[in-house]
Amino acid sequence: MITCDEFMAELGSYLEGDAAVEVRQQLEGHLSHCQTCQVVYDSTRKTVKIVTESDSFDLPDAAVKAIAGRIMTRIRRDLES
Amino acid sequence: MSYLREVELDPTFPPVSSLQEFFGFVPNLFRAQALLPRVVEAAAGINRAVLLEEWALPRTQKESVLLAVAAAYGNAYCVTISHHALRLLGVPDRQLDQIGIDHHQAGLSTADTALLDFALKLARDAPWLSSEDIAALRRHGWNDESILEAILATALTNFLCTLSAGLGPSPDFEPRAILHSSKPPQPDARSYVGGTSGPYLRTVELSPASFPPFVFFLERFGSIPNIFRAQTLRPDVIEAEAGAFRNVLMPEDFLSHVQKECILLVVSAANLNTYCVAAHCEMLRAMGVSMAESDQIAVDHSQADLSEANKALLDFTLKLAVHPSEFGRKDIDRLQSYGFTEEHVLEAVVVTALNNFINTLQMGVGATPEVKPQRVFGPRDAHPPRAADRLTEGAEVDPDAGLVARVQGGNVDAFEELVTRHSRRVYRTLMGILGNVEEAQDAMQDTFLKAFQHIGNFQGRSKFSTWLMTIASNTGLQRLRERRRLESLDDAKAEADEEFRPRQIGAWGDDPEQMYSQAERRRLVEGGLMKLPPKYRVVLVLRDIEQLSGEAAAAVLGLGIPALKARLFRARLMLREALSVHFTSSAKRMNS
Repeated sequence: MITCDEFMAELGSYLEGDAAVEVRQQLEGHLSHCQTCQVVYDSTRKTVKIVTESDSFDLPDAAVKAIAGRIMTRIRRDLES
Repeated sequence: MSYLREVELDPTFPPVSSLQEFFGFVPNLFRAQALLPRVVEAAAGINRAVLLEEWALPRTQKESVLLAVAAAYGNAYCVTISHHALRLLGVPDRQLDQIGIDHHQAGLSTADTALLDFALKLARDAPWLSSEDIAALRRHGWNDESILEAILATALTNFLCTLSAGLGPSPDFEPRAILHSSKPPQPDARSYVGGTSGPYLRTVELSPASFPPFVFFLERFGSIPNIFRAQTLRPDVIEAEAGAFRNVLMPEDFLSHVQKECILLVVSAANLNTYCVAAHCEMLRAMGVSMAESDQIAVDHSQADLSEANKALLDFTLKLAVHPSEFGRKDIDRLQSYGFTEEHVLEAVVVTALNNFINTLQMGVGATPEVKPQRVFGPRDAHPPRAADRLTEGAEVDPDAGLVARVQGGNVDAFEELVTRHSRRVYRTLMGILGNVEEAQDAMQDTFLKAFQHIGNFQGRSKFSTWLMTIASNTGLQRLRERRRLESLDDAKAEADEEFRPRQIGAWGDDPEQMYSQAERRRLVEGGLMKLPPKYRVVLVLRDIEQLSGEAAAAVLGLGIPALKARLFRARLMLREALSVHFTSSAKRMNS
């Protein structure tokens, strides 16, 4: 049986899907009886999903256009001078 | 865990509950398809009809075919799961390993050995299979029902191996080493058959008016393809195949019909499947693609009149079908760089897998084409170089290479295209580091100006996008240092000292996304991200929002992979902490 601290130490690679099989089995064994780690695991996974689908820091088309315009004006001006 | 984003599968969804019931768990291969439940339904339906329904061959026999063929394909995932199944069925380990290595030495009866010989020939050298091979099986006492099931089990293995190569699920059990003896040389050119000299097996009459799959095929194709008429001994399998067509090929919410038909066409051509190439040329003709164009796509799609994105899509599927052992996450990243989403990727993988299933099946039953093929694939086409072999060198081509070369040649307008294409990811990277809209936009301008100045030095050793984001990252860090002289992204000691333990331990709701609108979720995530120190925020942005691979994100930030992984995990935990107050089961009540 592994402890909660040991669980937390391996959770990162477990979430990334690159924990070794025997480690994975230990973690899953721990998860099956530890309510707290179950919550941490579940909510961290959900966090990743929410972040991934959040479109955070997306730039509106108009802003892309305006900035691209400024950059190109600057480049063409520098080239002429 | 697999290459694609993981989504919870609804355990009450019938295909899922039947997998659970049969295996005692839901294999990772099916979990890996959870983004599109209809696809899970298709794959589970074929798997159940072919493998799980007891008909002429016992399960042990079909699993042995699966094990031998998966070992021949070098597919660790499928070897592991069939090994496990056979072990549960009571087959001793020693015999199991021997089936994978060389079934002739596995102590099987001559009839069982002949059945595996047949399956392996179909799996590896299908166009050489002939009515002679069927006759030999009959002499060993196998009836047509059993032979059809052996063909179906071989086709299913090709289907499952293609899926697992494309989706990268972790093995469900301790992985078994693959010890298959080397592949025998390709048979003699003179014995080449081409898979169209059947039908080899007995058939029974099924009414096109009342057998629902035939009704469906009539509606969709205007006739009932011979490949389905050749399997009438197993109406339930035809039903599962029609279900897969309906769930995989009919929807157009991600890949279009033309894109799917093009995949089926090029992969069938790579498999030398004259029957299927003719069928898909016909389908494309009905969609307005001329025969000449279809033929060009089949023979060499790189020269066809297709968009760069569609060429990349076909490169992707060909590599998966022809070089599955070299296929990996980088191929998915490359496809996504053309704007395809994970759902597109999943569809491309499943269409390729379904194609391999149908190609193998067709060669096994020897169905004859309904229309005269305009191209017949012969033994010469089987020798390299084949269309698919070009991929090995082309697979890592940078989608921006053409534009970059034009800029390097003095075309300033081409740079504008690069700016438009990459400004969002540059901006996000900079928001990750700076956390301030005005500063990020300023730094973005600096980034592109620097990139333009130095583009002459860019030699294509990395992808242009990685190079550009490295400039963005350095530009952002430079500003950050000026702003807060003490802030460093590279302080390993500080990392070890920081508090690690999660504090919020209230359970989250089952479906947190239902609790808030998309706009609200974005606001909450951005708010949470703004609370993180820059070095954590930027890692989350690159990995979880920008979806860069670990290697690419590490390269952009100038970190080692272990440091990047440690930071990513810490960042996810920190954000979880910040979001918990909004997403715990009781949160909605408090907020509303």
